Order: sequence, then C-alpha cells, then structure tokens
Amino acid sequence: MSHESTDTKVLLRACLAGDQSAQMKIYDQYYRAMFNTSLRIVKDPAEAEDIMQESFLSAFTKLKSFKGEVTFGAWLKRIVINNSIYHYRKQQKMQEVGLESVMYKVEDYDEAPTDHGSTERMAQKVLETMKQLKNSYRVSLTLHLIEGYDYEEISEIMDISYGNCRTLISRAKESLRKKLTAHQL
Amino acid sequence: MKEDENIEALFESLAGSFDGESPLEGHRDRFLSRLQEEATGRTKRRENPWWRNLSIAATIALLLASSVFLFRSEPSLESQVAEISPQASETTRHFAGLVSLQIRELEQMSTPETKPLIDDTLTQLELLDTDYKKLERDLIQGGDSKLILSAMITNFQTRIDLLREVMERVEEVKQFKNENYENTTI
Repeated sequence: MSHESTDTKVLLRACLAGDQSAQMKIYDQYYRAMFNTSLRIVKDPAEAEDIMQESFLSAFTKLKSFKGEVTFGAWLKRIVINNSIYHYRKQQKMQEVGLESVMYKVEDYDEAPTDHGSTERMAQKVLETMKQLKNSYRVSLTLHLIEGYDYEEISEIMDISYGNCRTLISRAKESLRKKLTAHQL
Repeated sequence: MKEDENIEALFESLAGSFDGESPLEGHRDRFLSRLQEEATGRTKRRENPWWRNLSIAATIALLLASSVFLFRSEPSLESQVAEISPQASETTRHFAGLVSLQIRELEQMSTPETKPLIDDTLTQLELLDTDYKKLERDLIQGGDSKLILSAMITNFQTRIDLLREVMERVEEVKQFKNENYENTTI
C-alpha cells in the first residue's frame, strides 16, 4: 500500500526543493488527520497544534531520509506520534493536565455541534469516553484501535515491554468496555 | 474475548470518523509564518505556544521591576555583576529561573520514599549556591573574569545536571513502586 498518488509524489519532490507553496499544499492535505492524532494523545488543542506544526517542519527538513517504504502520511504520522508521546510524558511529569482542564474540555465537547451523521456522533462519544480513562489506557487504545499499530510497535512507541503492552491494552479495553456499557453506547 | 472483539468491531465501524476536531482559526497562517521563519534561516525553536513566551517575558519584566525597587538604595551583588558583564547576569537569570522551576517540580514529586534523596539534593544545591555567591564576589573584586565567568556557568550547569539526575532517580523509584503495586507501568 506504499504507493503515493502521483500528485503527492510531485508535491513531495517540490517540497524537497524547498517550494513553499508545495509545502503548504501538503500541510492542507494532512493537517487535520495529524492534528487529531496528536490531540488524542496530548488532549490540549493548543499543544496539539504546536506539535502538529513542529512535526510538519521537521518532516520537511528530514524529507531526504523518507524512502517511500511506507506512505508519506504514515511516515508523517509516526513523527507526530513520537512528538506527541514526548509531550505526553512531559505532561505526566509536570502533571500539567489538572482535573479542571479535563472537566472543562468534556463540557466543550458536549456543546459541539452534533449535526453530523450518526457515525461521526458515535465516534465523538467514543472519544469522549476514552478521555475519561486513565492516561495510559487512553494513549494505548488510541494507538491500537484508531491508529492501527500492533503490540510490537506500541511497545516501542510507549517504551514499555511487549508483555506490559499486551496487559495494558487488554485492561484498557476492558475499562473502556465497562464505561461504554455504562453510557449505553 | 468476545467483548474484546466487540470493541474492535466498534472501532472498525467508526474508522475514518475520528478526525472530527480542527485546530483553532488561523492555524494555517501560523504555520506559514513558521515555515517562512525556517526558510529565512531564523530557525528559532518555537516549542511553546505564544502565550507561554509572553508569560515568561512578563515574569522577567516583573523580576526586573521588583529588583529595581528592592535594590535601588544599595547596589546588589547581582547588579554589580551586571555592570561588569551584562551577558553573565543575563545568563544567570535564565539559569536561575530554570533551576528554581526544576526545584519546585522536584518538591512536588516528594514522597516518603524519595524524601531523603530530595532533601539531600536541596542541601547540595544550597552549597552550590554559596559557591556561586563567592564567585560573584570574586568577580566584583576584579579576579580573572574569564575564568570566573566560566566557573559560574559550570556551577549552574552542575546544578541543572544534578537536578535532572535526581529527577530521573525519583521517577525510577516511583515506577518501581507502581510496578510492585499493580504490575503494570508506563
């Protein structure tokens, strides 16, 4: 599945040459997915935006080392995830995400317009529920169920052993399942 | 196991619908300006959101203002150093802020298990601070400024290294504890 569309290939070549409008086009193409990926890990929108943009910048400088073994999107996403995990760890250390900010955010999402299709609404509810889980549960589930990484990759990303990773994810799933049932989803 | 599959199936059915959030208005312009900044070679790291930079600037301004009021009558050690080497005092302020931030962080991490370690660290830091004051006095009295300045920087570097190392230790202790209690860690 590592075939880019020709458009993307052409754009990437221009990006490599430092073409700013090409870089902006790549940004437009991927920013939304990358922002959401980061947000699911770090929870704070301002921080997620910063990480997402920083990742684009470093992707453009490192573009030479992109060999095309995976799609550009997957390569970029891995950069975003690594940066997000780095910030997530820092948050854990500084305990920056107090209970209050989490509570406010949950409120915010309640007020979000819900006139999308029902799949979108459902996805939003699932994400909200995930936010109430322990941080490590949320992050591991996000990587496993949404980003689609396997145990091995997740244990590498989160810097834990394979066994711990399996246990963590199975407990996280169990906890999410309980919460979802409680919310009748 | 069956429930596990339910969860997997749920996420599969929702695949592609999880990217519902968007960054705040103006993110595209913010990115463009960062891109241009990078291109013009001014590769200033902007890891912090703008408001954080602003708050740092405000803190520095406040510190400056208060030090002016506090030390107007009698020139302090710091202000005398600043006269000799403005750069040194600038660096000092930067490091001092960093160190006090990390100390506060460390104090928050204090638990019964790590208390002896943290207390000892604080004592060591105080010793280093006394050394530093001595260096400052030497500098004012006109010692070899190049040598003294580099010793001052090394002094701060030592403090930061010490703090970092202790924090890692404390983290390890914490992790070990968690592991013992619930056999799962991050």
